Amino acid sequence: MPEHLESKLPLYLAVKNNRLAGRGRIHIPGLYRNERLRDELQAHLLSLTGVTAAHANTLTGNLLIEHTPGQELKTFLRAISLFLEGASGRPVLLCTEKVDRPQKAAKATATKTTKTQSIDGSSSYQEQALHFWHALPSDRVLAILDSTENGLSAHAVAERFARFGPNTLTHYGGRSPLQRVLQQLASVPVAMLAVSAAISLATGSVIDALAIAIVVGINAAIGYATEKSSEKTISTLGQLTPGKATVIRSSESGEVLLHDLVVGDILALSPGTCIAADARLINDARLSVDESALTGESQPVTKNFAFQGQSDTALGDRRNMVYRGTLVTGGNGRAVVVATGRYTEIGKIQDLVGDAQAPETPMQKQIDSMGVQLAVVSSGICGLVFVVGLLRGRPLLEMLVSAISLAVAAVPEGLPAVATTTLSLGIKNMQRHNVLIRKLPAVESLGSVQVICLDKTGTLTLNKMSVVALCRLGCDLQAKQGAFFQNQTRVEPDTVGATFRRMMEVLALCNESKQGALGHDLIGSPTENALLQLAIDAGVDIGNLRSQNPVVKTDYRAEDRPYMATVHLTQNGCYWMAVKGSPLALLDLCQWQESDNTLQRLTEADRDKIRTGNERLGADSLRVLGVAYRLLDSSDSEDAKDLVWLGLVGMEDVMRPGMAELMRQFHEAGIATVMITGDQSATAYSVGKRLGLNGENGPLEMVDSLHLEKLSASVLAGLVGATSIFSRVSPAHKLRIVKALQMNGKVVAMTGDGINDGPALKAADVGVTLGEKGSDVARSIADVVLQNDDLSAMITAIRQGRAIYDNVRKSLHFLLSTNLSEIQVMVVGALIGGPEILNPIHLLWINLVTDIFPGLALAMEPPESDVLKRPPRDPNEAIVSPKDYARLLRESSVISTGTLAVYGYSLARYGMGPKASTNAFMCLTLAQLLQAYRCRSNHTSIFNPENRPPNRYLDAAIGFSLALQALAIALPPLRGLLRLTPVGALDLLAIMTGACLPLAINEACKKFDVPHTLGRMPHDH
Amino acid sequence: MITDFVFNSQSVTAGHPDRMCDIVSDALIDAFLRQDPITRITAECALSKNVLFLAARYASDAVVDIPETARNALQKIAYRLQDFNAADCTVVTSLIEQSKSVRETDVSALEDDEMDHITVSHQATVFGYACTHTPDLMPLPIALANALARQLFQARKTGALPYLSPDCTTQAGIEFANGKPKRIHSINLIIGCEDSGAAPTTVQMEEDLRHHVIFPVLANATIQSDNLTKIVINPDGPFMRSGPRAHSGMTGRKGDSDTYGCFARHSGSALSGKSPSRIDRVGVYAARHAAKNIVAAGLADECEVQLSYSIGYAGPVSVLLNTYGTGKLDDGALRKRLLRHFDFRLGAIVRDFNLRRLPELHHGSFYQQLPVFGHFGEQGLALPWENTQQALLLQN
Repeated sequence: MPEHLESKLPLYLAVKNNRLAGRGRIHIPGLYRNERLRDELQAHLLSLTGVTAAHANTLTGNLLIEHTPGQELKTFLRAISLFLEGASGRPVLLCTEKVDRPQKAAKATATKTTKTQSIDGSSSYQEQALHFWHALPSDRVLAILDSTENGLSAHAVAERFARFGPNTLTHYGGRSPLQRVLQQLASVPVAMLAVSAAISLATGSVIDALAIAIVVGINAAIGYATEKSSEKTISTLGQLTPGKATVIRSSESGEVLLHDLVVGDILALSPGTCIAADARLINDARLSVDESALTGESQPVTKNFAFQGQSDTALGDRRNMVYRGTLVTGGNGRAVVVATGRYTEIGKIQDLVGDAQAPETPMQKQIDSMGVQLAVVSSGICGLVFVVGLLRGRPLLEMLVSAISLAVAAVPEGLPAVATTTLSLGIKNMQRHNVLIRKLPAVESLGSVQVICLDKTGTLTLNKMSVVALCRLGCDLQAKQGAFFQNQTRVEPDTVGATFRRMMEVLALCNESKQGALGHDLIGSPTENALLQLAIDAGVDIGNLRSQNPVVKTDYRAEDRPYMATVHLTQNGCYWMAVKGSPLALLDLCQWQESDNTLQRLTEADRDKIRTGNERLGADSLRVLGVAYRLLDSSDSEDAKDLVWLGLVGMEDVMRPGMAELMRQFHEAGIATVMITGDQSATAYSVGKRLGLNGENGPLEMVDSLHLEKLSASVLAGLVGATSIFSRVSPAHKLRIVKALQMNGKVVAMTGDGINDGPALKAADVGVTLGEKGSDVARSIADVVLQNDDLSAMITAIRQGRAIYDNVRKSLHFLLSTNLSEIQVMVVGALIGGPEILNPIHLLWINLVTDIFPGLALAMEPPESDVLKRPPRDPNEAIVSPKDYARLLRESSVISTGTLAVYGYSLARYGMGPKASTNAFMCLTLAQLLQAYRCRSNHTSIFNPENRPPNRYLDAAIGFSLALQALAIALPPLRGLLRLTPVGALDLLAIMTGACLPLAINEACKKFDVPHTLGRMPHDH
Repeated sequence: MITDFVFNSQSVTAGHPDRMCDIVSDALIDAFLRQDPITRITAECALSKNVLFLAARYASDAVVDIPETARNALQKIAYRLQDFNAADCTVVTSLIEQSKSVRETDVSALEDDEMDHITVSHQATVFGYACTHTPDLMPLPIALANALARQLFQARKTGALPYLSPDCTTQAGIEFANGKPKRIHSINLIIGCEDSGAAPTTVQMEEDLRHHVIFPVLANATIQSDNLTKIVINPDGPFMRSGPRAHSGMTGRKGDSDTYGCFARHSGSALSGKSPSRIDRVGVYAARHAAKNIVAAGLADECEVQLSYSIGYAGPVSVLLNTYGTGKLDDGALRKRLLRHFDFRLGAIVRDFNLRRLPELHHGSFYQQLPVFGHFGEQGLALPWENTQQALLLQN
């Protein structure tokens, strides 16, 4: 570390003891063995009024100071620190101004997510000091950071960049290629095959061992390739285009990459700036910042550089600080960067959620456990066949080979690849629908979502204000998409009257929004934009009006002034004051009301009416402002009073189109919808009503709580069951809601875009964020990103998710039933004695030809037509239920019976030998390929093809496999390797019959199966 | 017949969770009727710890922030924040919006014969009672128990007894001789204490309660206590936990103290939480009105009126009257006079008592005061069904 930078580190003054009035003991840094400092300090202190004695001890480094009781120790501490700063040239801080570095969270040992250090390896950089910057005056902050208002020099910037590293957040995820390959191979079926291969090798059959290795290799390669391509998609999503920040360095303003910001840089803030690092304001002019990404509070916060906080001032109340990830909405200012990268508030939150644990997805668990089960079962069968063979007196070596080939036959090697491929194909498919999947298992979780929690602001609504109601005395108007309505009938704005016109003018004048260059876009706060838009809709020529009535004075809304007033010079030389603000406060200032150009005194009855109107608008989910004006004699008139009341305007956050229909679709799919909002419950209720959250006119259950954390988790879990609205809830409570739903055994999807939503998104089974709006943190945590900010894509995602799970089941069904038929044929062969029906190479060929390609093609099945009309599947239900096993056994028995019949026919015709084996081999292969068509659906069959959409991949895969099979019999070298004989015409007929009849029988049997969706009822709808 | 006996009636203060639920339910009635007098609403609550469950069905043009209204009503009971914080309790609502029916019409605009179209929607047999025990013609035991409860709440409000919790129960025992109240047999108070470190001593508490609660109540009573009157305060010791933190409550569970303290019959259905469309509430008021006017007219010393309503009928299918032998006239003759001068049809009751406009006339707070001040008697509000002007008409 460079010496001169080191010397700029602050010194800390520690107060040891100040319990006695009139004296205090203070630890002075640098006092130890420094006699000169002692003498100077003592002399300096004694020169101060009020100090009666000062004893500095160079051995302990402590200073004992005695002073007159009337004085406070604090004043002397200030003097001491100033003195020391002068003496040492280093900033001096009181110890109470210093904070500990954040405690490293204890690393959870069971964490499943592979967390890699940030790519830039930030651990090699020096940690940044964390101070309560908001509690220090700005000049001290500058001094501590060794910066000036003119910015850092290029040299200092380079120095600091080298020391603290780039201004980037830690990235999570990403596995190395080796990890990926190992993960492909680390499964029980693969282990079984490895054992088989080892035995084959030991018994000398190198070809068998090689064949097994090839099968494993092909499977792993497919798995690796598919997973790699999907991870590539994911990792590109995480990268966002680097923005730029306007920074003052060496007295010059310029743009630098966010990545290059360092502590001590001076940020220039203007509306629209996305703040790139945590910074302390050094000056500002009416700066307001949207901190919703950090605090969830959607109202912009007014900042003030002169504000000085306490050490425990909450993040949202630190009015002299701006934080990374927040957005400047108005005003401008300058701020000195105090923390970058992972030391920013966002960075700290991200570090926190990085350690939270993601739940394992149901399918992962099931396929894992099924792999183990199958391994156990097939080992059992192999053992059985082995023992039976030995008892029948067959040679040991021959039996060992048989048992191994059976093991190879029994294990569905294609299984892991099929599951992974299906899921990753799903990702690609969803991407086409603007749904980005960030985690592979989320695809499958999507299919089992039972409850979806929706943020109101920004998700269900556009987060854009719009005036919907105008309430004047005796005349209420509604506004809708630029048109005005009175009692449901449309009215032209210019026929409504002069008072209405005046009201519009007040709204346009007492308004700081500006029309953009295009004319359509408005630049300003959401509220003022809405008001200006209203005036434009009412036909007010904004440019003309404002130029004819120039502003001479503006009184902004402030703590003691619940309204905004502007004074304008009119063309006839008079002044008039336009006022808008809090309705009730404004009403108190009003004495008059205007109707048709005549002024009348406001009666008590009028006031009552206005108050009721305000209450109604407020309760009807609207944000209400009162509007008034007054004619003045001079511009510098006193405050607003004696005003003329014009009316109330009610604004609301505009709902996204199509949301009610979307809710209906969710309900039809058996998914409960829950809205979470910080709004008052009346607002929430009316929105919930319009959305139809309660389904078909059922009761709308609502939980309204400011302090959900006071409710015990089990009580909350009891409440959430039927609740469709949570109102007045802060973002931090979302996590509790998600957990409560999960306690009820629900699979929960959760939408969120703020940084505070992070933990809830992480805990939810499916965390969803809206692409453009979502904060970086939310996007990096979410499982699903809806790219074009449209929640409607969610239903597509769920449809795909369900289809994917169905398809995995279909593939599974196919793989299991075909492998089972092989086992049956082999077991029967072992029982009846004689040479084995199929040799190990046959079995491996069957597995390679019939398992993988049709299995993968089944993974591409289009969603069945009723997929969104079924309730979500039970997440606890096994992917292959006992009922399914019974069905599998039935179907495989039909197939193996067909094959054994052909084998019997061949035995009768040719006797024991390769001819009979060849026929059985051909028949079994064909029957298995045809079984793929059976597995396309449990509901539809080849007998009613109109109900199922075509799957061309399957046709191609079967065609390809059939061609391979034909090659096997037609190509002499291959035929030799497989030990096959040519097949005659009559044999072919027998083989065809033995292969096609089982398909017809199995398809016909579907009619007698109870459709599995009818067997289950939805849980609580 | 035994005519010498002791009769006990009990009541609870406003902070009792059952009462709190009644208050919340009726506060919603007020809030809706104030905005839209032609509202139908049924609101019921349950309260446990810091969770209020609130189920409401309504047909109304009013827009009401229901949880906020409930919280405001609870806030007025003024628990210490650590005991019950209305502002941040969780309110779980289950709301069903319905459409208005024929019962939701502005009765003041209707002709008299149009009232026949406003039929009742519930089957109910309701009772009204009045007797000469007190000036406002209520049975003495419940009048005393309710007065004690009110005084306890008042004493807390004024801060006279700093340790008093808003949740107390009272009981008054009256000794009757020859069917008339003769003396106060006992007064029994169970006092919830706010846990503020040191519990008050029993002696101190007894002294305080006598001074601030019992004596002020008895000062206005028709019968005074005597040396033998038993005054029992917290025989099990002070209750250091009280209110929703300690026990739960529901709307409509204090039917006895809402009515006549079991001295006369009362219907099983709750009064609170029902808008004037409900005959099982307004019928009770009409029956009391009738009974009270008979006694006020001097036609009997006590009188019970029974009205039976059936779904589909505008008026009662049966009107019964019993004066227990105290009538100046035959009960049959009294009933005739009653039927001549009183209109028990649902629409007429709503119209005559102006039930839909009462919240508006009382600045949005009428029905919610009834659980505290009593649905009957003249202790606080001027209740239209306590009006005895029709006694004059009953003379013939």
